[in-house]
Amino acid sequence: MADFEVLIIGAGPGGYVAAIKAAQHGKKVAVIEKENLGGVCLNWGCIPTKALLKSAEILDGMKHAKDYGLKAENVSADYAAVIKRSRDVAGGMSKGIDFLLKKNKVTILLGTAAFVDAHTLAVTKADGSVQNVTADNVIIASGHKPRTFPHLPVDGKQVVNYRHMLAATEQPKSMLAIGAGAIGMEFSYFLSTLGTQVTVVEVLDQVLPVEDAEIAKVVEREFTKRGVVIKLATKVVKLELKPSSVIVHLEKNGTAETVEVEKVLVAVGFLANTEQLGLEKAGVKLDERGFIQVDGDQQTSVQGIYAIGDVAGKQLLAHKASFEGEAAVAHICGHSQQVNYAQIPGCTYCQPQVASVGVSEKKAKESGRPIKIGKFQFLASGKAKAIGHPEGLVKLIFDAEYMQLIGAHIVGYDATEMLAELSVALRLETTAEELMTTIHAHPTLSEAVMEAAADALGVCVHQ
Amino acid sequence: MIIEQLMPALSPTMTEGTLVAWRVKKGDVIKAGTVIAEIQTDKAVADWDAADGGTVVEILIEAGSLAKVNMVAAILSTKKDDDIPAAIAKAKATNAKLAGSAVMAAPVSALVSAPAAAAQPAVPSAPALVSTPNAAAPRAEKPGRGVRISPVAAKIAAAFAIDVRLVIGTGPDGRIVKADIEAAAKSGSAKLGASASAKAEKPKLKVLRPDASQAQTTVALSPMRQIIGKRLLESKTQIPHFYVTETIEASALMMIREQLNLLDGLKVTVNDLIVRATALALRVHPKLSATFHGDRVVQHDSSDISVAVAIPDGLITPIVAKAHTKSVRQIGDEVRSLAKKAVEGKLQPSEFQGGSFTISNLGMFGIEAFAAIINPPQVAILAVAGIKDVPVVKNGQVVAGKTMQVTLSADHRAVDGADAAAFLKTLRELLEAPATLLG
Repeated sequence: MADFEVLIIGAGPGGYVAAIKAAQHGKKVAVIEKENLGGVCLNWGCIPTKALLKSAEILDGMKHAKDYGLKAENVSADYAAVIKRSRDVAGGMSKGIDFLLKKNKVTILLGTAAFVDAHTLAVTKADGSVQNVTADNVIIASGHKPRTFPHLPVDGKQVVNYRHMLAATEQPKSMLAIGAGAIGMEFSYFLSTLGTQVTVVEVLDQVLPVEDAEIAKVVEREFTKRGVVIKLATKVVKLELKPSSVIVHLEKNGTAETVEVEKVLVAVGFLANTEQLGLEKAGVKLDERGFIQVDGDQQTSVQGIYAIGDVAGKQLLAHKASFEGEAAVAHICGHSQQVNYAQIPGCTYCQPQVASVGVSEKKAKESGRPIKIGKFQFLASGKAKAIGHPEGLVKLIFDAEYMQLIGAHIVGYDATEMLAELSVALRLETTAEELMTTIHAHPTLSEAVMEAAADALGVCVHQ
Repeated sequence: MIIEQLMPALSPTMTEGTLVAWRVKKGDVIKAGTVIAEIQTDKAVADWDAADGGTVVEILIEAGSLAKVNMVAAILSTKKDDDIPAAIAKAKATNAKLAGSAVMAAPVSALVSAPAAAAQPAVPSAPALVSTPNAAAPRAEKPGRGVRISPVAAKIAAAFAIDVRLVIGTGPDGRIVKADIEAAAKSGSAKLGASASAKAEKPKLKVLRPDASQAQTTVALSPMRQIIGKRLLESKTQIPHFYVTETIEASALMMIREQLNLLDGLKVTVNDLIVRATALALRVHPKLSATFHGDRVVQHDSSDISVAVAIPDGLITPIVAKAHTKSVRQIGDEVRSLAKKAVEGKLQPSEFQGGSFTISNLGMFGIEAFAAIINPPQVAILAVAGIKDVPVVKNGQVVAGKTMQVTLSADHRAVDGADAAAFLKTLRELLEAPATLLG
């Protein structure tokens, strides 16, 4: 008999959720973690960055105290204290995961995992000792690592990735972010709010390339207002390292340009964390981009071996990893509970925040089906005005035939918290009528959702 | 720690359920996730698994009892020093408060209880040729009401005149989602003809002819046939049908029909007269104008009569609502209008969802007699055969006469033989004195 019924590699938001779910189904479960329980999400991603962004947001508010009739002069950030708070928040969360795993009687094996064969893993501990464990089912949830390029050599000091940025206790005077995705934009907001001169370079022609273009434009405009320099459709050709600065060589439409900054943040995508796992010994196949190939139930090319989260590709999002974890556990328990990738929400937590679920306007048009779009600007929302954040809008996309919601996009002050009702709406195949006739409390930012639905139906009251 | 195991709501509409059988007993040590009991909801029998672990120290709801959601069914203890008597007293108080009336927590009818045979299936859930599981509003008035269906699926179903009751949901917990309706629309299964939308394709029947010399044709079942098969199999196997046949002397009925048809512009069929007579008979025998919902029977004051109509590759039962308030002429006009719409696929869901009683009439084929399968959750269906010229005995003399056989199939859980016989007697009296139908 195998040591465990379910053995999970990695205790991030994919792995630990899968572990607890499997334990709740009465399985004998172990999770192997080489670093911190909670994975990148808790320790180096979602949570610590949200802590930093809150500090930035409060500082931003203090700087605008006068707008609210308040006095707060000479406000400034204690950078090291801000970073410390972020680390403390992450540390506390990680302890919570330890508690949850133990409460559910999940065995925690600290060490690095490598397949010996399809049902055996060697766990190498910090002291170098190796323990072989066997399992009926293995779930690989080993996560990602930042993608690197030869011409963007990350040294952890002048040229850094998000992880270095989260640990550095000194605020750079100037920073250039390569990549205007969520990470690039969140750090840009954070640092620029704290007083760093920030430049963002993006090779595509919009910030937040996965988001709706109109929404991204609002963010670009707000960032520019704050003094962030945004260079779109621009390539980084070379990084020239000087003793106390980096000269970034850029090229746009054949025109060369250089920018000199103290720090460069490389935020240009991810690779699967698969090396040293010994996947070849188990026979697990990778796809052409290096992520582990899985079917709809998260099973890999080998029966009984599953892969979830970042290592299985698609969107690199914690909640996607968790739900894939549940899908894998369901399949192990004899059910099928596949993840619907068209319904995974995405959020960016800079200000203004961006939140979306479903298709963008461009994608919707590409499908060739007739669509109807409803919009509502926060400028026309009483609540948005009262809280001093009239920027942004709600944009809803409907399939015109039955007015089914197929995409929802919000940019604005509390966009990420507002998205939940639209995620539910999308999941329930809701149409514009139900959104419009659902009574939304007044005054709330969420009223904009109801108004946008009404706009799509051509009967908006407040604009 | 004391953990109360509260009667769960296993479906969104569930307010009470029958605790069919316990799978654990006092003294058992259970883990979270252990199935502790089987519960009959308004839809089906489901396993109840415990959310917490502990030792079962008390069981408060006996097997076979009806309990309201959130009643304390059992008490778990996780520590030795737990004050169990206090917990039991508290739980009893909670249950008494929830029960409100004395009927709760008492074993329900003999059909349901029999807790000795734990493996015995409890009351079968009403198979859903007609769904409407909500007893408070047993008949669907709007498309999709009472059926678990997504908003967009309901809209598409309305546009394509799809009977959502015939569609099997593949969403969470059997919820009907857009893809299910689109599949039904495409295959024409639950849909009534292709005219509702140019987009809908006709049902594609796979015809295999492996060898022309072998005179056999294999026809794959259309989704509609599959559903009819599934639902009727459920009805026939899960409902304790019984049958009562009566012969009706139909000379007067035929005569009055001829007389009525002498009037300008009036065309009355035997069926119209039978619908009218049935509607009136149901008012006298409300037990047959009813729907069965697992643990209760709902009697409907209104005689809403479903009339079986054959459509290409299937059948549908449009409803003559409040038939007891309508004249023979009104009934006739309405049945013909509904049947036309049915064949054209233009019936609105409100026109075929619900119904309190069904009539299936094969008289036009002149058949001798037949018995029909109950259309759940209704409790009875009347099968009407053809009118025959037969010798009848009148005043001791054999004379030429006309007779028609009708057979009532009834659900023995809701109706007894005497009820069925009494209903048929009234029906016969009305049909044999058909002037009563014109009042």
